[in-house]
Amino acid sequence: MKARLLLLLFLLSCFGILKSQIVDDFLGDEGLFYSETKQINQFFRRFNNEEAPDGIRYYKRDKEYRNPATREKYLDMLFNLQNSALTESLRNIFKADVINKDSSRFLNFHSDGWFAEVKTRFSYKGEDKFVTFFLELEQENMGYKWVITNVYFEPFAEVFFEKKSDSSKFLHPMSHEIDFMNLIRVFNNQTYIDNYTLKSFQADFLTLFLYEFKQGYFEFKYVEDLKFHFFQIPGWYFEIEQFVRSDYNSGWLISKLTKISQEEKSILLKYIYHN
Amino acid sequence: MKKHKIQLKLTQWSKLIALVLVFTVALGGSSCKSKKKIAAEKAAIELANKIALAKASLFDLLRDDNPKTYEEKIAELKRIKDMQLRNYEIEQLIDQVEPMLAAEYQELLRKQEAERKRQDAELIRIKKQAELDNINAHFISIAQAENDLEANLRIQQTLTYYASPNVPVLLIINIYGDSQKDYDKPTTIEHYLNYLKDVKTYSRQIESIKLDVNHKIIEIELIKK
Amino acid sequence: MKLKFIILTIIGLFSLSSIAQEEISPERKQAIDSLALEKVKDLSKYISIIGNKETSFSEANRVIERTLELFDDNSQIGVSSLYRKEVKYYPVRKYLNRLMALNYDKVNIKWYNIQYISDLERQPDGTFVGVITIYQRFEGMQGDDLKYVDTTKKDITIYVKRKETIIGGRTIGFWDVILGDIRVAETSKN
Repeated sequence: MKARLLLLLFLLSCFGILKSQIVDDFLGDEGLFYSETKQINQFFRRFNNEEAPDGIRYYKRDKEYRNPATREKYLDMLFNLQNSALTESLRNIFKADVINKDSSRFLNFHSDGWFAEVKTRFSYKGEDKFVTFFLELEQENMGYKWVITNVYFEPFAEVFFEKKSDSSKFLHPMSHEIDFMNLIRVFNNQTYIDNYTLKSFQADFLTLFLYEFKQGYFEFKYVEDLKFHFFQIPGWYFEIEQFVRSDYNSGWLISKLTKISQEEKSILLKYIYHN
Repeated sequence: MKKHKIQLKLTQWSKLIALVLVFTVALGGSSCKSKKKIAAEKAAIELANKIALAKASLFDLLRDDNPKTYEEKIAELKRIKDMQLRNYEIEQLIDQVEPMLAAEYQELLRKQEAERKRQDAELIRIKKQAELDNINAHFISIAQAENDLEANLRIQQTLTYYASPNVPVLLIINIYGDSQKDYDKPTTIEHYLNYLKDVKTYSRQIESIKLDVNHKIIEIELIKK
Repeated sequence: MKLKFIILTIIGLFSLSSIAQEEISPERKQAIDSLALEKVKDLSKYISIIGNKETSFSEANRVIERTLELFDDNSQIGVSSLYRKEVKYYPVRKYLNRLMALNYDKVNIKWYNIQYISDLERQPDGTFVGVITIYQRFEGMQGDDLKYVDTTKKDITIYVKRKETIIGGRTIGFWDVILGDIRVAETSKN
């Protein structure tokens, strides 16, 4: 409640400056749009306090650039306040870590430690299916591009996750002496094929996808959903999603936030990638 | 104003001195003399009188702060010269006054020429501004046209001022420090006029134009107001 | 040899200049931002003309061609509504032709006085790319009646390329700002 009041006060103080700029043939009630975090770009800038309330960016030479005092107000705006799991105390610990006087933490668009999860709809062999892609920014020449690093597709998972373990299914250690003629038993049954691979074997879904795509099995329809995972703040993980609603607390907001250790990070990554 | 008064006073003073001189000479020679002698004396007095007045006048002409116009000064000099006083001092003074007035004449000519040039330049500027205003007005009239028909008509009229419909239009988006200009993608006048017709606003001014020998525009540069 | 020199000179003059490879200064960025925003506003005006019944068929077609000049080839408009997550893709020409066919007596496109202009990021090919977000209310009128109304958030891709050309013997450095894909998401039905 207090946070909302603060937010409202902050916004009102911003509009004082902005109202005077209104030109003809514009509509009035744009207050909601002002406070909405309209782009991921704005999420970054607000998080770092790199832009004015009217969305005009600060440059390094500007006094307000990354100013910790106003930064806290921005950070308050960046949580999905409708998620009760994001408690005030959790948010406060996070903010304190981020605005730490000795080592302030900032998000960096071009650095590692964040990636996109894009849920798309495809027609797969004539049936509507979701395909989830994971994308990261990669530098090339002087510029950047988003590249696909991973993919999750349930029909693939169904084939590979339910590894039908059967201790009787193996190629005995002297198979080489008989020119592996016993492979006939390996390949006469589709169900147990996994048993004949390395224990640590993991199917690479991206390769699978590319192969099947090239076979013409997949036909893209549209992007259904999008979220971003951040590991850029040491000791923390958060996820951002877009909240479209008539509320000052809307747009691209932190939907999940958790403190994590290094080991937990790799577990979490596996979970995100559905590995 | 004050200076002018002082000058007047000085002129009066020189006249006064001349008068005193005349009276002294007149009084000094008014004893019992023959008529002829009297006449000769009178003539001598008159001559001395004239010389004194001429001298005073010439001194006056030599003064830097003489308020008389050049023409008045020339007339005054001519009057003195026409008297043919044959006085050495007068001749000397005339020799000084003449080059001075000649220099003044040259200066006068120079000033007149400068003024003429200034007036010409101003006339050209006004004409040029009027021309620019006129060219700018074409843009405004197209943007403000009531309907397509009117806008198209105005576009056709406007195009007659240009060497061709393909005349380049340069749109300055910003000028940086050392007058380095940044532009939007260059377009043609026909394209630009149609653009104004469509967007119905015009908020630029003319930065420069180039004309050909037929006084048709061959390039125009516009800048945001 | 001479031909090679001429060809090299022409390439040097018309390809991306060295300026494009440097960072864009804040002053330049601001000027480019307003230029890009102007293109977006032009687009909106063109859409009003195309959607207006009073606009003759030939005029509407002429304006469609002008609108297409604003866009990079093959740009798509992806539209979604409040109640359906499905994004419908339209090539720009198809989107504009559809708009022309809607045939409202009048189309009003009103702007919310808010726009968000992202940073310009460089692509691997050297072109800069940014996104301008605007909010608009579309009103389709039939006589005096409001027949259709919606408020949408439009995220508009802008490509910015530094180019040079020679005009009247002078080298003119200009910013070629063109529009790319547009994501149109409905935010409310009023």
